[in-house]
Amino acid sequence: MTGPDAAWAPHTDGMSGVVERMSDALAPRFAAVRRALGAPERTPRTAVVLGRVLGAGLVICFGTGVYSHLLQHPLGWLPLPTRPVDLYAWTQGLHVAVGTALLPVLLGKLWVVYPRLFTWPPARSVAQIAERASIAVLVASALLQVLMGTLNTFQWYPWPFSFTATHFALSWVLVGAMVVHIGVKLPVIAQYWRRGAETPAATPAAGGEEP
Amino acid sequence: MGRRGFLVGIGASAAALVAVTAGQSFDLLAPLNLFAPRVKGAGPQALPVNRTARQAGVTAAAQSETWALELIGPSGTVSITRPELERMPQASARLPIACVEGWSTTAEWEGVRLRDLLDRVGVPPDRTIRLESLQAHGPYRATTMPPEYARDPLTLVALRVNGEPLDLDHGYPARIIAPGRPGVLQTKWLARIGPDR
Amino acid sequence: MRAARGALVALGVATLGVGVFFLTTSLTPARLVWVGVWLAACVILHDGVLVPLLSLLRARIRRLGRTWPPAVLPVIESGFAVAATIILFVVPELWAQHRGNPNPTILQGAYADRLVVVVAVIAVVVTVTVRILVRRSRADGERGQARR
Repeated sequence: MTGPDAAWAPHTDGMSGVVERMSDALAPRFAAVRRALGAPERTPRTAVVLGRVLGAGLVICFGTGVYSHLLQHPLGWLPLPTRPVDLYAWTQGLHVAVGTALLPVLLGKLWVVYPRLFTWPPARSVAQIAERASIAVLVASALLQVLMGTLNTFQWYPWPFSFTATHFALSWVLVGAMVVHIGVKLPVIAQYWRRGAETPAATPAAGGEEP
Repeated sequence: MGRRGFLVGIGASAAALVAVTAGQSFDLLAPLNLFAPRVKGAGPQALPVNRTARQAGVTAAAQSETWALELIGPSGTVSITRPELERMPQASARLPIACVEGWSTTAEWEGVRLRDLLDRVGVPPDRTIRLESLQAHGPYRATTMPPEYARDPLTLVALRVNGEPLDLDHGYPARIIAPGRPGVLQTKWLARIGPDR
Repeated sequence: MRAARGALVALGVATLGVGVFFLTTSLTPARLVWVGVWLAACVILHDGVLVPLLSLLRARIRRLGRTWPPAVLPVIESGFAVAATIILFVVPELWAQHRGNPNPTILQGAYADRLVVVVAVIAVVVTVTVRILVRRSRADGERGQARR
Protein backbone atom coordinates (compact mmCIF):
# COMPACT_ATOMS: atom_id res chain seq x y z
CA MET A 1 0.00 0.00 0.00
CA THR A 2 1.43 3.36 -0.95
CA GLY A 3 0.45 7.01 -0.61
CA PRO A 4 -0.81 8.97 2.40
CA ASP A 5 -2.81 6.03 3.73
CA ALA A 6 0.33 3.93 4.14
CA ALA A 7 0.95 5.46 7.56
CA TRP A 8 -2.41 4.16 8.69
CA ALA A 9 -1.75 0.53 7.87
CA PRO A 10 1.89 -0.48 8.46
CA HIS A 11 0.90 -4.17 8.59
CA THR A 12 -1.47 -5.92 6.27
CA ASP A 13 -2.63 -8.60 8.71
CA GLY A 14 -4.62 -8.78 11.94
CA MET A 15 -6.67 -5.84 13.27
CA SER A 16 -4.96 -3.21 11.14
CA GLY A 17 -5.78 -5.27 8.05
CA VAL A 18 -9.47 -5.15 8.97
CA VAL A 19 -9.27 -1.42 9.62
CA GLU A 20 -7.52 -0.87 6.30
CA ARG A 21 -10.14 -2.85 4.39
CA MET A 22 -12.93 -0.96 6.17
CA SER A 23 -11.24 2.32 5.41
CA ASP A 24 -10.87 1.41 1.75
CA ALA A 25 -14.54 0.45 1.60
CA LEU A 26 -15.75 3.63 3.30
CA ALA A 27 -13.62 6.13 1.44
CA PRO A 28 -15.48 5.94 -1.90
CA ARG A 29 -18.86 5.84 -0.15
CA PHE A 30 -18.09 8.98 1.81
CA ALA A 31 -16.82 10.60 -1.37
CA ALA A 32 -20.08 9.68 -3.09
CA VAL A 33 -22.08 11.29 -0.27
CA ARG A 34 -20.01 14.45 -0.55
CA ARG A 35 -20.63 14.54 -4.31
CA ALA A 36 -24.36 13.99 -3.83
CA LEU A 37 -24.40 16.91 -1.40
CA GLY A 38 -22.79 19.25 -3.90
CA ALA A 39 -24.74 22.43 -4.48
CA PRO A 40 -24.00 25.86 -5.96
CA GLU A 41 -24.03 27.53 -2.52
CA ARG A 42 -21.62 25.02 -0.98
CA THR A 43 -18.45 26.99 -1.67
CA PRO A 44 -15.69 28.46 0.50
CA ARG A 45 -16.82 31.93 -0.55
CA THR A 46 -20.35 31.41 0.79
CA ALA A 47 -18.89 29.92 3.95
CA VAL A 48 -16.74 33.02 4.43
CA VAL A 49 -19.60 35.44 3.73
CA LEU A 50 -21.89 33.73 6.24
CA GLY A 51 -19.00 33.23 8.64
CA ARG A 52 -18.38 36.98 8.71
CA VAL A 53 -21.99 37.68 9.63
CA LEU A 54 -21.97 34.98 12.30
CA GLY A 55 -18.73 36.30 13.72
CA ALA A 56 -19.97 39.87 13.89
CA GLY A 57 -23.26 38.77 15.43
CA LEU A 58 -21.49 36.60 17.97
CA VAL A 59 -19.25 39.46 19.03
CA ILE A 60 -22.32 41.65 19.58
CA CYS A 61 -24.13 38.93 21.53
CA PHE A 62 -21.03 38.19 23.60
CA GLY A 63 -20.36 41.84 24.41
CA THR A 64 -23.96 42.63 25.33
CA GLY A 65 -24.23 39.35 27.21
CA VAL A 66 -21.11 39.94 29.29
CA TYR A 67 -22.39 43.47 30.03
CA SER A 68 -25.66 42.00 31.27
CA HIS A 69 -23.69 39.57 33.44
CA LEU A 70 -21.52 42.37 34.82
CA LEU A 71 -24.55 44.42 35.82
CA GLN A 72 -25.79 41.47 37.85
CA HIS A 73 -22.36 40.56 39.24
CA PRO A 74 -20.44 43.82 39.46
CA LEU A 75 -16.68 43.73 39.81
CA GLY A 76 -16.00 45.84 42.87
CA TRP A 77 -13.40 47.95 41.15
CA LEU A 78 -15.27 48.67 37.89
CA PRO A 79 -17.96 51.38 38.09
CA LEU A 80 -20.92 50.77 35.81
CA PRO A 81 -22.62 53.34 33.57
CA THR A 82 -25.82 55.00 34.80
CA ARG A 83 -26.46 56.94 31.57
CA PRO A 84 -28.11 56.75 29.13
CA VAL A 85 -30.99 55.53 31.26
CA ASP A 86 -32.06 53.05 28.59
CA LEU A 87 -28.57 51.70 27.89
CA TYR A 88 -29.39 48.26 29.27
CA ALA A 89 -32.73 48.23 27.48
CA TRP A 90 -30.82 48.76 24.23
CA THR A 91 -28.00 46.31 24.90
CA GLN A 92 -30.31 43.54 26.02
CA GLY A 93 -32.78 44.21 23.21
CA LEU A 94 -29.84 43.97 20.81
CA HIS A 95 -28.63 40.79 22.49
CA VAL A 96 -31.93 39.00 21.93
CA ALA A 97 -32.63 40.49 18.48
CA VAL A 98 -29.17 39.67 17.12
CA GLY A 99 -29.27 36.23 18.73
CA THR A 100 -32.62 35.62 17.05
CA ALA A 101 -31.32 36.83 13.68
CA LEU A 102 -28.38 34.45 13.97
CA LEU A 103 -30.64 31.40 13.99
CA PRO A 104 -31.10 31.24 10.19
CA VAL A 105 -27.54 32.46 9.58
CA LEU A 106 -26.13 29.67 11.76
CA LEU A 107 -28.30 27.04 10.11
CA GLY A 108 -27.30 28.44 6.71
CA LYS A 109 -23.60 28.28 7.52
CA LEU A 110 -23.92 24.69 8.79
CA TRP A 111 -25.85 23.80 5.62
CA VAL A 112 -23.05 25.19 3.44
CA VAL A 113 -20.25 23.27 5.17
CA TYR A 114 -22.25 20.09 5.86
CA PRO A 115 -20.43 17.94 3.25
CA ARG A 116 -17.21 18.39 5.22
CA LEU A 117 -18.74 16.13 7.87
CA PHE A 118 -18.16 13.24 5.46
CA THR A 119 -14.40 13.52 5.17
CA TRP A 120 -12.69 10.12 5.12
CA PRO A 121 -10.43 9.28 6.83
CA PRO A 122 -11.79 11.43 9.67
CA ALA A 123 -8.34 12.74 10.58
CA ARG A 124 -4.81 12.25 9.37
CA SER A 125 -2.96 13.78 12.32
CA VAL A 126 -3.35 14.82 15.93
CA ALA A 127 -3.72 18.41 14.76
CA GLN A 128 -6.64 17.41 12.55
CA ILE A 129 -8.27 15.50 15.39
CA ALA A 130 -7.96 18.62 17.54
CA GLU A 131 -9.37 20.79 14.79
CA ARG A 132 -12.37 18.53 14.19
CA ALA A 133 -12.95 18.39 17.95
CA SER A 134 -12.93 22.17 18.13
CA ILE A 135 -15.43 22.30 15.27
CA ALA A 136 -17.67 19.87 17.14
CA VAL A 137 -17.53 22.15 20.18
CA LEU A 138 -18.18 25.21 18.00
CA VAL A 139 -21.23 23.72 16.29
CA ALA A 140 -22.67 22.21 19.48
CA SER A 141 -22.26 25.31 21.63
CA ALA A 142 -23.57 27.63 18.90
CA LEU A 143 -26.71 25.53 18.46
CA LEU A 144 -27.30 25.11 22.19
CA GLN A 145 -26.72 28.79 22.99
CA VAL A 146 -29.27 29.91 20.40
CA LEU A 147 -31.72 27.27 21.61
CA MET A 148 -31.31 28.17 25.29
CA GLY A 149 -31.52 31.88 24.60
CA THR A 150 -34.71 31.49 22.59
CA LEU A 151 -36.43 29.22 25.10
CA ASN A 152 -35.46 31.60 27.89
CA THR A 153 -37.54 34.31 26.23
CA PHE A 154 -40.47 31.87 26.44
CA GLN A 155 -39.62 31.18 30.11
CA TRP A 156 -39.40 27.49 29.22
CA TYR A 157 -36.50 25.57 30.77
CA PRO A 158 -36.62 21.89 29.73
CA TRP A 159 -32.98 21.26 30.71
CA PRO A 160 -31.77 20.16 34.17
CA PHE A 161 -29.13 22.85 34.68
CA SER A 162 -29.12 26.54 35.55
CA PHE A 163 -29.87 28.75 32.53
CA THR A 164 -27.88 31.80 33.63
CA ALA A 165 -24.75 29.92 34.72
CA THR A 166 -24.67 27.66 31.66
CA HIS A 167 -25.53 30.35 29.11
CA PHE A 168 -22.77 32.56 30.49
CA ALA A 169 -20.12 29.81 30.70
CA LEU A 170 -20.94 28.37 27.26
CA SER A 171 -20.65 31.83 25.71
CA TRP A 172 -16.91 31.78 26.53
CA VAL A 173 -16.62 28.25 25.14
CA LEU A 174 -18.38 29.38 21.96
CA VAL A 175 -16.25 32.48 21.46
CA GLY A 176 -13.09 30.51 22.19
CA ALA A 177 -14.01 27.82 19.67
CA MET A 178 -14.86 30.52 17.13
CA VAL A 179 -11.48 32.24 17.55
CA VAL A 180 -9.70 28.90 17.15
CA HIS A 181 -11.76 28.29 14.02
CA ILE A 182 -10.81 31.67 12.56
CA GLY A 183 -7.17 30.96 13.31
CA VAL A 184 -7.27 27.60 11.59
CA LYS A 185 -9.21 28.91 8.57
CA LEU A 186 -7.37 32.22 8.22
CA PRO A 187 -5.84 31.40 4.80
CA VAL A 188 -9.24 30.39 3.41
CA ILE A 189 -10.87 33.48 4.93
CA ALA A 190 -8.21 35.72 3.39
CA GLN A 191 -8.50 34.04 -0.01
CA TYR A 192 -12.28 34.31 -0.25
CA TRP A 193 -12.77 37.57 1.62
CA ARG A 194 -13.37 39.54 -1.58
CA ARG A 195 -15.77 38.65 -4.34
CA GLY A 196 -14.24 37.22 -7.52
CA ALA A 197 -11.86 34.79 -5.88
CA GLU A 198 -14.30 31.99 -6.64
CA THR A 199 -12.70 29.10 -8.49
CA PRO A 200 -15.35 26.68 -9.79
CA ALA A 201 -13.23 23.59 -9.20
CA ALA A 202 -12.56 24.25 -5.54
CA THR A 203 -15.70 23.31 -3.63
CA PRO A 204 -15.95 21.85 -0.11
CA ALA A 205 -18.07 19.06 -1.57
CA ALA A 206 -14.96 17.71 -3.24
CA GLY A 207 -12.84 18.65 -0.24
CA GLY A 208 -10.45 20.38 -2.58
CA GLU A 209 -9.87 23.79 -1.02
CA GLU A 210 -8.08 22.81 2.15
CA PRO A 211 -4.47 24.10 2.01
CA MET B 1 -27.78 32.74 -9.27
CA GLY B 2 -27.82 29.71 -7.00
CA ARG B 3 -25.17 31.14 -4.67
CA ARG B 4 -26.63 34.62 -4.45
CA GLY B 5 -30.13 33.20 -4.18
CA PHE B 6 -29.05 31.22 -1.14
CA LEU B 7 -27.61 34.25 0.61
CA VAL B 8 -30.71 36.26 -0.24
CA GLY B 9 -32.82 33.48 1.27
CA ILE B 10 -30.80 33.44 4.47
CA GLY B 11 -30.84 37.23 4.69
CA ALA B 12 -34.57 37.35 4.10
CA SER B 13 -35.15 34.71 6.79
CA ALA B 14 -33.11 36.63 9.34
CA ALA B 15 -34.78 39.93 8.48
CA ALA B 16 -38.25 38.40 8.61
CA LEU B 17 -37.69 36.68 11.95
CA VAL B 18 -36.30 39.82 13.58
CA ALA B 19 -39.06 41.95 12.09
CA VAL B 20 -41.79 39.87 13.70
CA THR B 21 -40.14 39.37 17.09
CA ALA B 22 -38.06 42.43 17.98
CA GLY B 23 -41.05 44.69 18.54
CA GLN B 24 -41.00 43.79 22.22
CA SER B 25 -37.65 45.58 22.48
CA PHE B 26 -37.67 48.31 19.85
CA ASP B 27 -40.44 50.85 19.27
CA LEU B 28 -39.75 50.94 15.53
CA LEU B 29 -40.74 47.29 15.13
CA ALA B 30 -43.62 47.33 17.60
CA PRO B 31 -46.30 47.45 14.83
CA LEU B 32 -44.88 44.24 13.30
CA ASN B 33 -44.76 42.32 16.58
CA LEU B 34 -46.51 39.09 15.63
CA PHE B 35 -44.46 36.47 17.44
CA ALA B 36 -42.58 38.02 20.35
CA PRO B 37 -43.42 36.52 23.75
CA ARG B 38 -44.33 39.97 25.01
CA VAL B 39 -45.83 43.19 23.76
CA LYS B 40 -44.62 46.66 24.66
CA GLY B 41 -47.08 48.36 26.92
CA ALA B 42 -49.14 45.22 27.54
CA GLY B 43 -49.74 44.68 31.21
CA PRO B 44 -51.16 46.36 34.30
CA GLN B 45 -50.45 50.11 34.14
CA ALA B 46 -49.14 49.61 30.58
CA LEU B 47 -46.11 47.66 31.81
CA PRO B 48 -45.35 43.96 31.35
CA VAL B 49 -44.59 41.94 34.45
CA ASN B 50 -41.85 39.39 34.90
CA ARG B 51 -42.98 37.86 38.18
CA THR B 52 -46.42 38.42 39.64
CA ALA B 53 -47.08 39.03 43.32
CA ARG B 54 -48.71 35.63 43.58
CA GLN B 55 -45.71 33.93 41.96
CA ALA B 56 -43.49 35.68 44.48
CA GLY B 57 -45.75 34.72 47.38
CA VAL B 58 -46.08 38.26 48.70
CA THR B 59 -49.76 39.08 48.24
CA ALA B 60 -50.53 39.04 51.97
CA ALA B 61 -47.38 40.79 53.16
CA ALA B 62 -47.52 43.48 50.48
CA GLN B 63 -51.10 44.43 51.25
CA SER B 64 -50.62 44.37 55.00
CA GLU B 65 -51.73 47.50 56.90
CA THR B 66 -48.61 47.30 59.03
CA TRP B 67 -46.09 47.38 56.20
CA ALA B 68 -43.19 49.76 56.76
CA LEU B 69 -39.91 50.21 54.89
CA GLU B 70 -37.01 49.49 57.22
CA LEU B 71 -34.04 51.79 56.68
CA ILE B 72 -30.79 50.71 58.31
CA GLY B 73 -27.83 53.05 58.72
CA PRO B 74 -25.04 54.18 61.03
CA SER B 75 -27.35 56.61 62.82
CA GLY B 76 -29.89 53.89 63.53
CA THR B 77 -32.83 52.01 62.04
CA VAL B 78 -35.98 53.81 60.92
CA SER B 79 -39.31 52.34 59.84
CA ILE B 80 -41.30 54.42 57.37
CA THR B 81 -44.87 53.59 56.39
CA ARG B 82 -46.24 54.22 52.93
CA PRO B 83 -48.28 57.31 54.01
CA GLU B 84 -45.09 58.71 55.53
CA LEU B 85 -43.20 58.02 52.32
CA GLU B 86 -45.93 59.79 50.37
CA ARG B 87 -45.53 62.85 52.59
CA MET B 88 -41.81 63.11 51.89
CA PRO B 89 -40.59 65.28 48.97
CA GLN B 90 -41.42 63.39 45.78
CA ALA B 91 -39.34 63.15 42.64
CA SER B 92 -40.17 61.67 39.26
CA ALA B 93 -38.15 59.83 36.65
CA ARG B 94 -38.89 58.46 33.21
CA LEU B 95 -37.13 55.09 33.20
CA PRO B 96 -37.48 51.76 31.39
CA ILE B 97 -37.98 48.34 32.86
CA ALA B 98 -35.65 46.17 30.79
CA CYS B 99 -35.60 42.43 31.21
CA VAL B 100 -32.85 39.89 30.48
CA GLU B 101 -35.39 38.34 28.13
CA GLY B 102 -34.91 41.34 25.86
CA TRP B 103 -38.16 43.24 26.24
CA SER B 104 -38.39 46.71 27.69
CA THR B 105 -41.02 49.37 28.30
CA THR B 106 -40.55 52.91 29.59
CA ALA B 107 -42.76 54.41 32.30
CA GLU B 108 -43.11 57.50 34.46
CA TRP B 109 -42.19 56.72 38.05
CA GLU B 110 -42.82 58.81 41.16
CA GLY B 111 -41.44 58.32 44.62
CA VAL B 112 -38.77 59.29 47.10
CA ARG B 113 -35.14 59.63 46.00
CA LEU B 114 -33.15 56.71 47.39
CA ARG B 115 -30.29 59.02 48.31
CA ASP B 116 -32.63 61.11 50.49
CA LEU B 117 -33.60 57.99 52.41
CA LEU B 118 -29.98 56.89 52.72
CA ASP B 119 -28.99 60.36 53.99
CA ARG B 120 -31.73 60.13 56.60
CA VAL B 121 -29.98 57.23 58.29
CA GLY B 122 -26.46 58.46 57.57
CA VAL B 123 -25.29 55.89 55.04
CA PRO B 124 -22.01 57.17 53.54
CA PRO B 125 -22.13 58.00 49.80
CA ASP B 126 -19.53 55.42 48.79
CA ARG B 127 -21.31 52.37 50.22
CA THR B 128 -22.90 49.58 48.20
CA ILE B 129 -26.52 49.22 49.22
CA ARG B 130 -28.48 46.04 49.92
CA LEU B 131 -32.19 45.97 49.10
CA GLU B 132 -34.41 43.21 50.45
CA SER B 133 -37.84 42.26 49.22
CA LEU B 134 -40.83 40.84 51.07
CA GLN B 135 -40.24 37.86 48.80
CA ALA B 136 -39.01 35.01 50.98
CA HIS B 137 -37.44 32.79 48.29
CA GLY B 138 -35.73 33.24 44.97
CA PRO B 139 -32.34 34.39 43.72
CA TYR B 140 -33.41 38.02 43.46
CA ARG B 141 -35.15 38.43 46.81
CA ALA B 142 -32.21 40.56 47.88
CA THR B 143 -30.11 42.66 45.53
CA THR B 144 -27.07 44.86 45.87
CA MET B 145 -26.70 48.27 44.31
CA PRO B 146 -23.33 49.94 43.76
CA PRO B 147 -23.03 53.57 44.94
CA GLU B 148 -23.09 55.10 41.45
CA TYR B 149 -26.70 53.94 41.14
CA ALA B 150 -27.68 54.38 44.79
CA ARG B 151 -26.68 58.04 44.73
CA ASP B 152 -28.12 58.82 41.30
CA PRO B 153 -30.88 61.48 41.45
CA LEU B 154 -33.06 59.35 39.19
CA THR B 155 -32.98 56.30 41.46
CA LEU B 156 -36.27 56.21 43.31
CA VAL B 157 -38.10 54.19 45.90
CA ALA B 158 -41.13 54.31 43.63
CA LEU B 159 -44.68 54.58 44.96
CA ARG B 160 -46.53 55.43 41.74
CA VAL B 161 -46.19 54.52 38.07
CA ASN B 162 -47.81 56.16 35.05
CA GLY B 163 -49.96 58.35 37.32
CA GLU B 164 -51.35 55.63 39.58
CA PRO B 165 -50.28 53.95 42.81
CA LEU B 166 -48.11 50.95 42.05
CA ASP B 167 -50.03 47.87 41.04
CA LEU B 168 -49.48 44.87 43.30
CA ASP B 169 -47.73 43.02 40.46
CA HIS B 170 -45.45 46.02 39.90
CA GLY B 171 -44.22 46.02 43.49
CA TYR B 172 -46.81 47.73 45.72
CA PRO B 173 -46.21 49.17 48.32
CA ALA B 174 -42.78 50.28 47.10
CA ARG B 175 -40.16 49.14 44.60
CA ILE B 176 -36.79 50.41 43.55
CA ILE B 177 -36.28 51.86 40.09
CA ALA B 178 -32.86 52.92 38.84
CA PRO B 179 -31.46 53.97 35.45
CA GLY B 180 -29.72 51.35 33.31
CA ARG B 181 -30.29 48.34 35.56
CA PRO B 182 -31.73 44.95 34.53
CA GLY B 183 -35.31 44.31 35.58
CA VAL B 184 -34.37 41.55 38.02
CA LEU B 185 -32.43 44.14 40.04
CA GLN B 186 -35.32 46.62 40.22
CA THR B 187 -36.44 44.99 43.44
CA LYS B 188 -40.17 44.90 44.07
CA TRP B 189 -42.13 44.75 47.35
CA LEU B 190 -39.31 46.40 49.28
CA ALA B 191 -38.89 45.41 52.90
CA ARG B 192 -35.47 46.63 53.97
CA ILE B 193 -32.72 48.94 52.70
CA GLY B 194 -29.28 49.31 54.20
CA PRO B 195 -25.56 49.19 53.54
CA ASP B 196 -24.25 45.93 52.17
CA ARG B 197 -21.92 44.04 54.42
CA MET C 1 0.09 34.79 8.50
CA ARG C 2 1.53 31.93 10.51
CA ALA C 3 2.06 34.13 13.55
CA ALA C 4 -1.47 35.49 13.32
CA ARG C 5 -2.88 31.98 13.10
CA GLY C 6 -0.87 30.84 16.07
CA ALA C 7 -1.94 33.83 18.11
CA LEU C 8 -5.61 33.32 17.25
CA VAL C 9 -5.53 29.63 18.11
CA ALA C 10 -3.75 30.37 21.38
CA LEU C 11 -6.23 33.12 22.28
CA GLY C 12 -9.12 30.84 21.34
CA VAL C 13 -7.84 27.98 23.47
CA ALA C 14 -7.35 30.36 26.40
CA THR C 15 -10.92 31.63 26.04
CA LEU C 16 -12.15 28.04 25.81
CA GLY C 17 -10.29 27.43 29.05
CA VAL C 18 -12.07 30.35 30.71
CA GLY C 19 -15.38 28.85 29.58
CA VAL C 20 -14.45 25.45 30.98
CA PHE C 21 -13.44 27.15 34.23
CA PHE C 22 -16.83 28.85 34.50
CA LEU C 23 -18.60 25.60 33.65
CA THR C 24 -16.77 23.54 36.21
CA THR C 25 -17.03 26.13 38.98
CA SER C 26 -20.72 26.91 38.58
CA LEU C 27 -22.14 23.46 37.80
CA THR C 28 -21.93 20.14 39.62
CA PRO C 29 -20.38 17.21 37.73
CA ALA C 30 -23.80 15.62 37.30
CA ARG C 31 -25.20 18.81 35.75
CA LEU C 32 -22.11 19.11 33.57
CA VAL C 33 -22.79 15.67 32.16
CA TRP C 34 -26.28 16.87 31.24
CA VAL C 35 -24.81 19.92 29.51
CA GLY C 36 -22.66 17.52 27.51
CA VAL C 37 -25.71 15.44 26.65
CA TRP C 38 -27.62 18.50 25.44
CA LEU C 39 -24.62 19.69 23.41
CA ALA C 40 -24.30 16.29 21.75
CA ALA C 41 -28.04 16.10 21.15
CA CYS C 42 -27.98 19.45 19.32
CA VAL C 43 -25.34 18.25 16.90
CA ILE C 44 -26.90 14.82 16.42
CA LEU C 45 -30.37 16.21 15.78
CA HIS C 46 -29.07 18.86 13.41
CA ASP C 47 -26.52 16.81 11.47
CA GLY C 48 -28.31 13.47 11.71
CA VAL C 49 -31.95 14.44 11.29
CA LEU C 50 -32.60 18.01 10.21
CA VAL C 51 -30.08 18.39 7.39
CA PRO C 52 -30.60 14.89 5.89
CA LEU C 53 -34.36 15.46 5.79
CA LEU C 54 -33.97 18.89 4.19
CA SER C 55 -31.46 17.46 1.73
CA LEU C 56 -33.91 14.76 0.64
CA LEU C 57 -36.68 17.33 0.31
CA ARG C 58 -34.49 19.58 -1.77
CA ALA C 59 -33.33 16.74 -4.02
CA ARG C 60 -36.96 15.85 -4.68
CA ILE C 61 -37.89 19.44 -5.55
CA ARG C 62 -34.87 19.77 -7.80
CA ARG C 63 -35.85 16.62 -9.66
CA LEU C 64 -39.40 17.93 -10.08
CA GLY C 65 -38.12 21.28 -11.24
CA ARG C 66 -35.76 20.06 -13.95
CA THR C 67 -37.80 21.69 -16.70
CA TRP C 68 -38.60 24.93 -14.86
CA PRO C 69 -36.92 28.24 -15.68
CA PRO C 70 -33.72 28.62 -13.64
CA ALA C 71 -35.00 31.44 -11.43
CA VAL C 72 -37.92 29.40 -10.08
CA LEU C 73 -36.02 27.08 -7.74
CA PRO C 74 -34.25 29.84 -5.80
CA VAL C 75 -37.59 31.58 -5.30
CA ILE C 76 -39.18 28.43 -3.93
CA GLU C 77 -36.18 27.65 -1.75
CA SER C 78 -36.03 31.20 -0.38
CA GLY C 79 -39.73 31.16 0.42
CA PHE C 80 -39.26 27.84 2.14
CA ALA C 81 -36.31 29.19 4.13
CA VAL C 82 -38.29 32.19 5.40
CA ALA C 83 -41.31 30.08 6.30
CA ALA C 84 -39.23 27.34 7.91
CA THR C 85 -37.29 29.86 10.01
CA ILE C 86 -40.44 31.40 11.41
CA ILE C 87 -42.00 27.97 12.00
CA LEU C 88 -38.85 26.82 13.80
CA PHE C 89 -39.20 29.78 16.17
CA VAL C 90 -42.96 29.71 16.70
CA VAL C 91 -43.46 25.97 17.30
CA PRO C 92 -41.52 25.93 20.60
CA GLU C 93 -43.27 29.16 21.49
CA LEU C 94 -46.63 27.50 20.95
CA TRP C 95 -45.54 24.66 23.17
CA ALA C 96 -44.43 27.10 25.88
CA GLN C 97 -47.78 28.84 25.55
CA HIS C 98 -49.57 25.50 25.80
CA ARG C 99 -47.66 24.63 28.97
CA GLY C 100 -49.08 27.75 30.50
CA ASN C 101 -47.47 30.49 32.54
CA PRO C 102 -48.99 32.06 35.66
CA ASN C 103 -47.83 35.43 34.37
CA PRO C 104 -50.60 37.08 32.31
CA THR C 105 -48.24 39.40 30.41
CA ILE C 106 -46.17 36.76 28.59
CA LEU C 107 -47.05 34.55 25.61
CA GLN C 108 -50.47 36.07 25.13
CA GLY C 109 -50.59 36.29 21.34
CA ALA C 110 -52.62 34.20 18.90
CA TYR C 111 -49.42 32.74 17.53
CA ALA C 112 -50.93 29.71 15.82
CA ASP C 113 -53.42 31.80 13.84
CA ARG C 114 -50.73 34.29 12.89
CA LEU C 115 -48.36 31.53 11.83
CA VAL C 116 -50.94 30.06 9.49
CA VAL C 117 -51.53 33.49 7.93
CA VAL C 118 -47.80 34.25 7.56
CA VAL C 119 -47.04 30.90 5.94
CA ALA C 120 -50.05 31.30 3.64
CA VAL C 121 -48.88 34.76 2.60
CA ILE C 122 -45.40 33.42 1.83
CA ALA C 123 -46.93 30.56 -0.17
CA VAL C 124 -49.06 33.00 -2.19
CA VAL C 125 -46.10 35.30 -2.87
CA VAL C 126 -43.97 32.35 -4.00
CA THR C 127 -46.73 30.94 -6.20
CA VAL C 128 -47.45 34.27 -7.87
CA THR C 129 -43.75 34.95 -8.45
CA VAL C 130 -43.21 31.49 -9.93
CA ARG C 131 -46.22 31.90 -12.24
CA ILE C 132 -44.85 35.22 -13.47
CA LEU C 133 -41.41 33.72 -14.06
CA VAL C 134 -42.81 30.73 -15.93
CA ARG C 135 -45.08 32.94 -18.06
CA ARG C 136 -42.20 35.29 -18.84
CA SER C 137 -39.86 32.48 -19.83
CA ARG C 138 -42.54 30.92 -22.00
CA ALA C 139 -43.10 34.29 -23.73
CA ASP C 140 -39.34 34.65 -24.25
CA GLY C 141 -39.21 31.15 -25.70
CA GLU C 142 -42.04 31.92 -28.16
CA ARG C 143 -40.41 35.21 -29.14
CA GLY C 144 -37.15 33.37 -29.73
CA GLN C 145 -38.92 30.83 -31.93
CA ALA C 146 -40.76 33.56 -33.88
CA ARG C 147 -37.45 35.27 -34.68
CA ARG C 148 -36.02 32.16 -36.31
